[in-house]
Amino acid sequence: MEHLNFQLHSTPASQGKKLEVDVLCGIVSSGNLEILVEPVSADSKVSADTCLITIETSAEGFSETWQAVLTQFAESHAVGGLRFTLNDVGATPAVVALRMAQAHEEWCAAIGANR
Amino acid sequence: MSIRHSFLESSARERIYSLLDPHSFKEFCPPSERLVSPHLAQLSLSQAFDDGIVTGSGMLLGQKVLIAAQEGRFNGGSVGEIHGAKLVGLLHAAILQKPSAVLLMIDSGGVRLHEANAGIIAISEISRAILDVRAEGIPVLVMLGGSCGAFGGMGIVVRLCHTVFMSEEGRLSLSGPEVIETVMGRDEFDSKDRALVWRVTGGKLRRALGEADKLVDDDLTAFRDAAGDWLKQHIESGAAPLSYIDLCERQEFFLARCLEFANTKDGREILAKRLSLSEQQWTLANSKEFESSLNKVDVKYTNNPLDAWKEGLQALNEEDQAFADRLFGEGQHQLQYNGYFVVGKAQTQRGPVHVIGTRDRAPIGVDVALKLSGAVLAAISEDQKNASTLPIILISETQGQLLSRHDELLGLNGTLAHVALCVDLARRSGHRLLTLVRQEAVSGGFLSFGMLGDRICALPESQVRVMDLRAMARVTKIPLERLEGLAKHSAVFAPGAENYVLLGGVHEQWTEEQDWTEALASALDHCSAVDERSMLGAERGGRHLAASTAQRVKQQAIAFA
Repeated sequence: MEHLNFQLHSTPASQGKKLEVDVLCGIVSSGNLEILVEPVSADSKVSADTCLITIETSAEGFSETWQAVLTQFAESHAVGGLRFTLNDVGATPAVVALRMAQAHEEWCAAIGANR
Repeated sequence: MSIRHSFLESSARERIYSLLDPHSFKEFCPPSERLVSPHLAQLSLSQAFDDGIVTGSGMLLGQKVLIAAQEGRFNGGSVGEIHGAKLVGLLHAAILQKPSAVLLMIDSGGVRLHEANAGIIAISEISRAILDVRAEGIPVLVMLGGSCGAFGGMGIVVRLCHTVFMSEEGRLSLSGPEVIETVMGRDEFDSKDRALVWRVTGGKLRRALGEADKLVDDDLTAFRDAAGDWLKQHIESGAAPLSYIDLCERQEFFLARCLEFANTKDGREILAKRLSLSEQQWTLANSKEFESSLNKVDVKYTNNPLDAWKEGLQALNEEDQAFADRLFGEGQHQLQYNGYFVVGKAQTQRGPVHVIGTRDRAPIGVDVALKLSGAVLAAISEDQKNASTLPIILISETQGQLLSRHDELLGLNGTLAHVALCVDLARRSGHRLLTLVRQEAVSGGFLSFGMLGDRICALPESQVRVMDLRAMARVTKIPLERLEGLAKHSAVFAPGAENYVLLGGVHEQWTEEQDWTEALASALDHCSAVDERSMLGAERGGRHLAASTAQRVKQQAIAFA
């Protein structure tokens, strides 16, 4: 298992709203991963334009690939102030990108329904 | 025509959301609480934030229900310490809150081998909790249609519940076809023959055999409709716990079924007898067509079904005689045996007791199982006539369930669940239940009988396990050397009665030096009808998380209500 942490620059998700919703997307199974999306806790010193991503992965030695996939994700989605926690079982970069987008979409839908 | 949404292909969460009234689901111990399995981490394996099971409450047709769904795609929906404890907590909450029903979407291969001992004890605790929920008159519905089906201990758990709805795609059995093939050879069960696997374990066969109550199309809406109709029915009629008469009727039903299909190894014959359809027709039939073509079955056992267990009993052999002398004292017992089955009466320092159990490292198949249940029912009935409730000593000596396609076909899981229901009725009727583990007690045979005791004592040199380390290494694909190394420090998966003591699954271990008649008397004094094993596991330090996790789910259920 490899543990990876990323702090990435992104457009703030909040725009002044409270981000109290969390969402789980995907399943921990071979070639797949689960993603938990939560607001970064209020007492942490992370700024609103930073996205935190934590990964537990069974595929070791791919930190550069993760960096590339996740940087692109953070640039193209408004996920500042959010924390993504991933449990990965060797998902391909394409699957990771898809699940990240899906997780974000589900989180947006949940926060919309919650308002 | 509306689009079908496959139950099989849905995730545990999708199944729950589609079943309950919109926006009514509240999850207990949700993923954000990160109740992950520490045992998987120790083996450097991936964890899931919900440990593969979703638990919570919600509304179905405006009625409050408690609900759980296993995620078959995470480690085969297998039951580990936390996974199991979440379900136990939900069931305990049901006893307090009395919801209209408990709904379980089972999708599980059984015990999670990476934490095998904690897993099998958890399944035993789930079993006890379901029996407690039923005793409160709360109906429990199982929905089966996931890719993992219900195997191993979860196959027994399913049949402890009130009602079972299955899709054709669902499977229900005890030993998986792969396990039977590995041990007994391909001639016994070719696990690659998918059609055969489904004719032995699949939804249509189980429905025709009487192991499932309704066949439902593989469609989320179909399951929702079926569950809704079922709930309406139960709100009107209630769900009384099983009585002695109910269990006697079941005893006859199972005995008659075994006789009727005594030589059957393929579901074809059963389906042909139970359906007014040709093979081609039942293969293609949807659930509605299938249901309407089921023949009415009126099975009668030829002899007195409640006496069948007495057939062929004879005096004990020398070795067993010596064993019984040591337990009860010379001349203090009248025990008999037939094959793997042993039964009789004995005197203890605390008065007379019934003795029921297995011997000679019994592989438990449907025949032995029905002798056990028959003897338990007879003990209940005899004491009722004498206005007494003598303790029952459960002698548990088993290498596990019999690995046989025939027995799986005849619903070994359901038959073992029947044994468990009979043992549970004995407890509820006031009998103390004391289990003695002799030689070895393994997996399914132990789970449905000995593990239901009020107090479980392991005799000297006896072994308790789910599977030996070599088989475990093969299934989990973890090198044997690594497992052996870990086994030295972890009680959670390594075989051994002493590990079960640490985990609270065995109450005490006896020694050779002890006077067993005294140990027996003391154990009888300490029988408690309340399941304290998770507390015991926490106290002894072998199972830290089971009690606290169950408590946490229960507290969230209370806080939400």
